[in-house]
Amino acid sequence: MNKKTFTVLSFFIPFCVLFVWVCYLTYITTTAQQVIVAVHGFDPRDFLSGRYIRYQIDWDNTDCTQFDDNKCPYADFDKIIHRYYLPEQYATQIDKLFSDQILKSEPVRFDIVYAYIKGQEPITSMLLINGQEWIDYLQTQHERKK
Amino acid sequence: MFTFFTFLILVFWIYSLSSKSKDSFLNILLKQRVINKTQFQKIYAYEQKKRLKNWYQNGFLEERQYQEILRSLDENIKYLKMPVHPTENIKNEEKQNILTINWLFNFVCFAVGCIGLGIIAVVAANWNQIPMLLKLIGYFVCFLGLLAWLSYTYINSSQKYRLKEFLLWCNIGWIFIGIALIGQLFHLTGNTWTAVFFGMILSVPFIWASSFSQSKNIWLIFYGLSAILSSSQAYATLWILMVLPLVWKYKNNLLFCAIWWITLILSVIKSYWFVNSLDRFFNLFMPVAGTWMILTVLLALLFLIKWSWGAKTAFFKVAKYGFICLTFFSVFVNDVFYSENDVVFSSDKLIYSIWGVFALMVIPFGLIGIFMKQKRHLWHFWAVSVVVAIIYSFLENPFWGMVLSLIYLLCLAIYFAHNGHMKGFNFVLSVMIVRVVWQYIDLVVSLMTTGIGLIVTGVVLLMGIFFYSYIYPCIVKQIKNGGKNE
Repeated sequence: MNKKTFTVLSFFIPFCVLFVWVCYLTYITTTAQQVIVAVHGFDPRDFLSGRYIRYQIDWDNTDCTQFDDNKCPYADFDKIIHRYYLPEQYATQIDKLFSDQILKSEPVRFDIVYAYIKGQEPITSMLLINGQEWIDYLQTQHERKK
Repeated sequence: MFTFFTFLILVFWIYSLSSKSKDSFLNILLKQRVINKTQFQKIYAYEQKKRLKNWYQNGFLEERQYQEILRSLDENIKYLKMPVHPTENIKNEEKQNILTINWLFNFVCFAVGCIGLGIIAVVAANWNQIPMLLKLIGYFVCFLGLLAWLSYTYINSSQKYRLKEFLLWCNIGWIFIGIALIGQLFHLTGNTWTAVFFGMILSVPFIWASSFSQSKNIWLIFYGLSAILSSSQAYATLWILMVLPLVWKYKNNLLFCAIWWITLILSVIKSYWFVNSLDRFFNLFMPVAGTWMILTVLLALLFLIKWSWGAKTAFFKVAKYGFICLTFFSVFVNDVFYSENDVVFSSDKLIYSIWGVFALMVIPFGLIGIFMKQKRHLWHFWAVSVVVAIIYSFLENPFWGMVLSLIYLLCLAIYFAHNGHMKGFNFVLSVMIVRVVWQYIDLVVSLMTTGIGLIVTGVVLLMGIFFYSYIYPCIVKQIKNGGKNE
C-alpha cells in the first residue's frame, strides 16, 4: 500500500469513529434499563448545541425501588452534567414551565428517562412532563387552550 | 462554538497571510537550512565566475578586467552577507499586490466563516420536524461526500493545493459539527473542551495530510489548549499514543515539541497534585487565569529563547508565531468566558482581577517588545492595558465587555499599523470581526434566523468576490475592446 492510498484511507477513520459512536449510543439507549428520575432546573443556551435545560436531580421525589437493591445510584448520576436539548421553537415554553414549577398551585412535575447500566454513566433519553413526553404534554395543553 | 469559529477563521486567515516567496533555488536551500553560510558563499562565487567567464568569452570584458574581477571576487566573497528573507525584499509594487490579494482573501475567509457559523446555528436550532434518524443519515451522507471529494483531489495530483487544504479544513469542521449534532441528539453532557479535544484527535488524519505548516501549528495550539482545559488523568496515555507519530513526522517542528511538553506537564500537574487543594481554582479559573498563566510562561520562554539564541533563529520565529495566535485566542477566551461565567466569578473577583491586570499588562508588552521597532509610545499602550484590565475585571455587563475588548484590540491594531506590521494588523482585525459576530449571535434570539442570515451573508459575499475577481475584469476587458471577444 503506497503512502497516498494509506493517507486517503486514513481520511475515513473519523467517519468510522463517529459512526461507531452513534451505533453504540443507539444500542445503549435501546437496550439498557430505563429509569425515571425527578428533576428541576433552568434553561440556558449554547450556540454550539442549541437550547437545553440544565437540571438537577431531585432524589427526594425519585422512586429508588426501580434500581438494584432499591438504592438510588447517586454516584453514577453525579458523574455527568445534566442537560436535555430541546428544539428552539419549544425552548421558551419549557423554560417558562420550569421557572413556574414551584410557583404554580399545581406544580408541574419534570422527570427524565435515562438508559442506565449499573456502574456506567447513564444516557439521557426522554423528558417527561407530568408523566407525558414533553411534546405530547405541550400539544395537550395547546388543545386544551383551544 | 466559539472555538470552532475562531479555529476556522484563524486557519483561513493565516492561510491567506502566507505570501508565496519568489526565492531563487539558492535562497530556498538557504532558507530551509539545507546549506550553511560558507556553502552559500562558495556556490554564489561559482555562479558569478561562470557568468564572468561567459562575458569574457563573448568579448564583453578584457583579459585584465576579467582577472581583476575574479581576484576581487575571491578576496571579498567571505564578506558576502546572508541574503535577507525574500519577503522583506519585495518591491513596493509587489507589496501592494499582496495587500490587495490579502484583503480579497480576508473577505473570502469572513464569508466562509459566516457560512460555517450559519450551518452550526441551523444545526443548533434542533428542528424537531426532522426525525433523529434522518438528521444522522443526512450528516453521514454529507460527510461521505466531503470525504470522497477530498480523496479525489488528493489522489488527483493536478488539483490545486489550496483546494485540497480548503477541503481538509471543511472535513475538520464537519467533524466538529458531527460531535455537536450527536451530543444534541443523544443529550450528551460532557465538557465542551473535551468535545473540542476529541475533535482535535479525530482531525489528525487531515492535519497529517496538510501541506501547510501554518495549519499544523494552528491545530497544535488548539490541541494544546483543549488538552489542558479538558485534561484528566485518563487522557495522558491517549495523548502519548496520538502525538508520538506526529513528533516523529514533524521532528523539526520545535513549536510542536514545546507545546506538546508544556501541555503534558501542565495536565499532569493538574491531574496529580492540584486535584485536592486547588481543584476548584483550576476548574473555575483555568479557562481564564490558567490560559493567561500559560501565556505568561510562554512569553518568558520566548524571551529566554531570544536572549539565548537570537531573534533570527527559526525556533524563535515559529515560537513567536505561536505566541501571537495564543494571545489573541486568549483575549477572546477571556472575554467570552468572563461574559458567560460572571456569576461564578463574582465571589472570587480578586484573584481574577489580579490575573487579568497582570496578564493584560505583561502580554502586550511582550508582543510590542518582540515586534515593534519604535517603542517611543509604549507607555500609551501600557496605560490602556492597565485601564482596560481594571475596568474589565469588575465589569458585569457582557456587552460593555465586548466594547472594551474591541477598544483594547483597536489600540493594538493601531500600534501594529503604526509600525508597519501587516500580519499583526490583519490578525487583530480578524479577532475584532470574530468578536463582533459573536456578540451579534449572542444578542439575536432565534438560532434559525441567525443561521440562515449568516449563510445568506456568506453566499452573497462569495458571489460578490467571484464577480469582482472574475466577471468584472472580463466586462472591463470587453468594454475596452469595444465589445469584441478576443
